[in-house]
Amino acid sequence: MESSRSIGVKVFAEYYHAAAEAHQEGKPIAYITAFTPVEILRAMGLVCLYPESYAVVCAASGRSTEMIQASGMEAFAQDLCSYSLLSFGAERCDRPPFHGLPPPDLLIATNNQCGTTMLWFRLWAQKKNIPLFIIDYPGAAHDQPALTRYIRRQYEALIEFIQAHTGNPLNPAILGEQVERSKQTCMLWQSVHEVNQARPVRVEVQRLIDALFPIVVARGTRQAYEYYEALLRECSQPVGQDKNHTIRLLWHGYPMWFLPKKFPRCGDTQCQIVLNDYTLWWSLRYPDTADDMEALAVAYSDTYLNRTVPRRVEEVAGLVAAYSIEGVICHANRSCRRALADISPLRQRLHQSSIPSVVIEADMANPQFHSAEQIQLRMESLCDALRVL
Amino acid sequence: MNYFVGIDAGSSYIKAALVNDAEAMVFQNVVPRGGDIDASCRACFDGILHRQGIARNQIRGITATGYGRKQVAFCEDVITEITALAVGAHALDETIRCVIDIGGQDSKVIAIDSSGKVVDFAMNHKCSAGTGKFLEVTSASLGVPVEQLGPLSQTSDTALRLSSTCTVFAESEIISCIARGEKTENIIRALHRAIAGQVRGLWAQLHSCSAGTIAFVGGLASNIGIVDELSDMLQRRVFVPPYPQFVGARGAALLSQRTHGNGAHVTGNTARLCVSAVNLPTQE
Repeated sequence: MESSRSIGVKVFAEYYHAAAEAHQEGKPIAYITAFTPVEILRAMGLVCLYPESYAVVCAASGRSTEMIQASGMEAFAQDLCSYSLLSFGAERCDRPPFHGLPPPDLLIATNNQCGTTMLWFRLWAQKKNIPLFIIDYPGAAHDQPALTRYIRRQYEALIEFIQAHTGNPLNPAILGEQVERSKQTCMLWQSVHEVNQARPVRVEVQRLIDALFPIVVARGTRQAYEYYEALLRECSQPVGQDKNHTIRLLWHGYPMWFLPKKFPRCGDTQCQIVLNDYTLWWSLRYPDTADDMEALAVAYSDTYLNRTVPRRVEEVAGLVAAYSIEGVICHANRSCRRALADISPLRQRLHQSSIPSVVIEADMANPQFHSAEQIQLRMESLCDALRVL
Repeated sequence: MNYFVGIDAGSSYIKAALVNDAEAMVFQNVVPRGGDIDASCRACFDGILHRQGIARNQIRGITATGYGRKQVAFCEDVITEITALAVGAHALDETIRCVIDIGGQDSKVIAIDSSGKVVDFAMNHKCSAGTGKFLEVTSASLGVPVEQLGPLSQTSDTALRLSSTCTVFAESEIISCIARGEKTENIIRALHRAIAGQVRGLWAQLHSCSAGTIAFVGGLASNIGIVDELSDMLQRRVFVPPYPQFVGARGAALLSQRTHGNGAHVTGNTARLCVSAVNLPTQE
């Protein structure tokens, strides 16, 4: 049986290869945001590229500072979202990773994860004269059927928009396959995480970060499904006992993409980050329905950052209980205002459950806002506090 | 007699505390932090041995804390300031439920329970706004030695307001105040108020700090102006122990005793530090 590593390499190569090939052959390319209903776009023959994911690649390449400074040449303020700065900076840098993303024919943005991406895409649309479509997800609603109808109407308009610009019609059979595979893939991704509910940890949090790419960029494809099937099989192998009684930590929020291991070094060997809830944000919940559009409307409306703060807090509190978490590290990511909103109420909620937490102020992709020594002090203080004096 | 040492390698000063088997404070010492943290800590430690006439083999354990704790090559254990301060403060007074420490580079508010265990804590933003370094730089702008800031602020007659605790912004604001002819004592009071306001923000994050005694420790606790502003802002009496800058080192020494001393971990009243020794000798 093929290993997850082998499939993962293919997914990565295929994504960038398809982008280059589409550019050469004149196939329509769309830049899309992380939680765009990509299933519709694939069912209309679009090659979809994710600038946010590319920003992560740029950050992981170790050239964040250079690229962010390059974005300053376009007079962008340096305290904007670092994903957007990396994206703009990569266009002005020599030798960007994978020679940069090929130019798009269409831009499709959503507001179910982030408010900045809409502005970021709008800037591209104005600057490069590229057609832009924005899908509005209002989030919580008292009238769920009305919300679903509202989003469906936008999907219908999206289909017309794409067809008008590419001439490609929607293939309902491909859409059905894509939605079903996305649903199954998200369930596999959830199951991969859940193996860590047992002691000791079976899959290190860094491995979950490395395994994120297919569910972000290839959700709905056969390869992504096979990747997570293989990963779950590998992670379900029995492991030894937790003799040292590891103190289990949850990292709340974004990783730090520019760090080699994506999380700061704790320096305390007894404490281990066993879960990062950010990776679970991609475990979308597609409802059981034969209506593909409805399934997409419900799943993409209910992304983590599109939920109300009390719902988010209860979601994380539920993870703390399910994964036997003893302490929480909250990453106050300067780039993501929406993610910052739940930190204070979450800490209050955790306090009620006698779960200590600490806040680390940094950034997901900009090392200029990173102070390793201070972060380590806060993490070690949390670990000290978790020990019995 | 066996002894235990706690070394608090701070960003400005190295503090060391010596406790005996009975967890009683015996001696404490402080030296400025030099470029070589390990050498400065060793000098501070040697000073204790020399002044007390204690042989090295009588020291059963050394625990380091503070920002330079990992640079102390000759210690057995390393502990963060949060834990050291909690243990040190609880040993001083078991009614303490909140410890405020304003150090050279950061400020902390720590909530502790009735057994001295850390329940929660909050620390300043990652820059040094509103810390000891902030006061050091701004006092230099005013040409007033740091130790005179507290008494001078007590003579203030007007409550000025500074809009920032950013060291750079505050410095330029102070220059504007001087240019406007504001009195030095009023500017100093505004500085103290800015620092206290920063701490109040941290304190408000900790819901378990609403009851019990609040202790203010660390070097800045010797500044009566900040103590007054803190009491005013928190609307609570703020307790400053004798030798507040040594609480972390004492906590570290006590943890060393509990780890390396004879017998089980002592709790309750017997674990209290001998704070009655108000005239405890301190070598500068």
